Amino acid sequence: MDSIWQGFCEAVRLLAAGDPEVYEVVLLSLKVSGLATAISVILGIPFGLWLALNEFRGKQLILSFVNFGMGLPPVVVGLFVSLLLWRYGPLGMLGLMYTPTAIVIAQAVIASPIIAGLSFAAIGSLEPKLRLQFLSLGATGLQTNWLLIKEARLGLMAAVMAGFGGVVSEVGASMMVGGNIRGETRVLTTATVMEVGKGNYEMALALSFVLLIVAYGVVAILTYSQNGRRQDAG
Amino acid sequence: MKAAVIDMQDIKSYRGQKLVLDIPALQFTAGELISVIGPNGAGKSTLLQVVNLLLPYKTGRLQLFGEEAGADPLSLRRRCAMVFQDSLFVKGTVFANVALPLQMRNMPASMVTERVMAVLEMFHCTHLANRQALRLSGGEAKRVCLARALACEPELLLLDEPFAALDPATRKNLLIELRQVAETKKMTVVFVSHNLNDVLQFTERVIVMENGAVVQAGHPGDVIRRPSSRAIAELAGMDNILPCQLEQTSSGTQILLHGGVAVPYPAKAPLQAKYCCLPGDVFQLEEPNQPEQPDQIHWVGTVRQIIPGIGVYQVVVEMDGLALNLRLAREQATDLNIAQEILFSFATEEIHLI
Repeated sequence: MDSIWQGFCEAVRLLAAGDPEVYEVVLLSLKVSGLATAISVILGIPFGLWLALNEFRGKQLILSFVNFGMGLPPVVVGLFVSLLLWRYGPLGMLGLMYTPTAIVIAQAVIASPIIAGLSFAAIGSLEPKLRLQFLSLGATGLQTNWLLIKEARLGLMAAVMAGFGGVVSEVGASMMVGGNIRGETRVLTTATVMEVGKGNYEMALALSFVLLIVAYGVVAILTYSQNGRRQDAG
Repeated sequence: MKAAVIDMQDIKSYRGQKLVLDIPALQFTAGELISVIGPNGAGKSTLLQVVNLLLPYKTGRLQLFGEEAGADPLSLRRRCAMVFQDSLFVKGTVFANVALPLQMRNMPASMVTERVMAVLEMFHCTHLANRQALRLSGGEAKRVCLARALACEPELLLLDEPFAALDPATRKNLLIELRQVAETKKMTVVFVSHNLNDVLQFTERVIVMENGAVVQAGHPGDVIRRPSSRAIAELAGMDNILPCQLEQTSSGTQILLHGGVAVPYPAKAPLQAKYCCLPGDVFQLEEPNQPEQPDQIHWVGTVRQIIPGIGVYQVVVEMDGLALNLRLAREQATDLNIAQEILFSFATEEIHLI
């Protein structure tokens, strides 16, 4: 119990003291996971919308793959992305292995199905005739989609939070494709694992508290904006 | 002759493999108020959605306002508006909801405000403008729905059972107001309902649908008295729908009702008919020992129940195991007593077989 408390104190001290190495790691974690989440939003929300609004043969099959993708083990994603980006892999010529871009790619693969699946659920839970009503009032296809996204925004925000939470906290893929290189690809989760490996439990605890504080901070901002809008909407 | 607002030829629409709409030919002219009735699953909503270009049709030809439907669906759709059974508001104020169709057409903000307030005024709901749309009562919500639909001054208004969840008084008021607005604006209105009272209130032409097809069209009075099927008879509130069999005799056709009651039928009868319909107001009370008129059927029955009403009372009479509903004038009905035996008659030409 003491060591947990010490770890927490150390975390606060590290953040307060402005330790440049810690800040670099925090910043990279936010940048990489934020970018991966943004890419997943761009891919996942339109895909979820399309899946929710169209009826076709094979929809259930696609949906089952999306749901399966929501639980993809990060280690497996890391392995596949590594194989693709490895010097002799199909995308080896891009030279992305062990770069932040590689982590972004792996994290986007993890977050996209989460955001797509939850977007599908959010749009699917709207009254089905709402789409027809918008069209009937004279909306274009784009206006209809935008209005549906606005109506489902609470659920979509939850999807974004789940996606971000999923990638900021994963370690397997980041370790495999990033390599935990100091000053280059070290993120909060890989740094924590490394400190544990070195037996620096206090530092590891401190880093995990920093991770929790950062993750909570981002989710709190999203939650407040969600609630603010809900109050606007009454 | 007035121009056709809707012109359908050989339209067939499918849901999966199932044929849900089959219209060989149907025209609605400008300024017409038409009702569409039919039991659940008859294809009424499908008809409206096809007309509003929300649902594709597989074969046939659809013209709206004299233009081919396929050419420019958006601009044709923007000349129509549909009101659904559910209010289908977005989160936000009444003003924001009514402004929505105007904003979709990129109308300048000052014009939007002017138009929204004018249309809210038309439906007496200016005071609701700043209320949250999702918190309105049923009647208020429907007024706002109508205002939203009319904000863009559509030439064709499609109503898909919009008042189904309202109490009778509110419905009646809304229908009267809507009819006035439609007549002033010379709008064509297609009104889907399964309430015949609403239809009588609103239109002079009714189309009856069953299984995706139009089975009857005409004046609402004809549909009430001469329904085309049992389902429509029930929908129209036909007082007596008596199961029957038809029999050819040497003197003509005879209708055999349950309990062994036989009724001679003078006209040419459809032999496959299964039900004999008798509106409750065709019956007349008779004094005993009166000479029988030709083409009049005289029955004797026992009064079982007297249900008061305004204008007419409903009297339930039992005869040979058959329960008959008679509609009688108040002064006649109040003279009757339960278990009293009465003599009553009706003209055979009032019989309608289905």
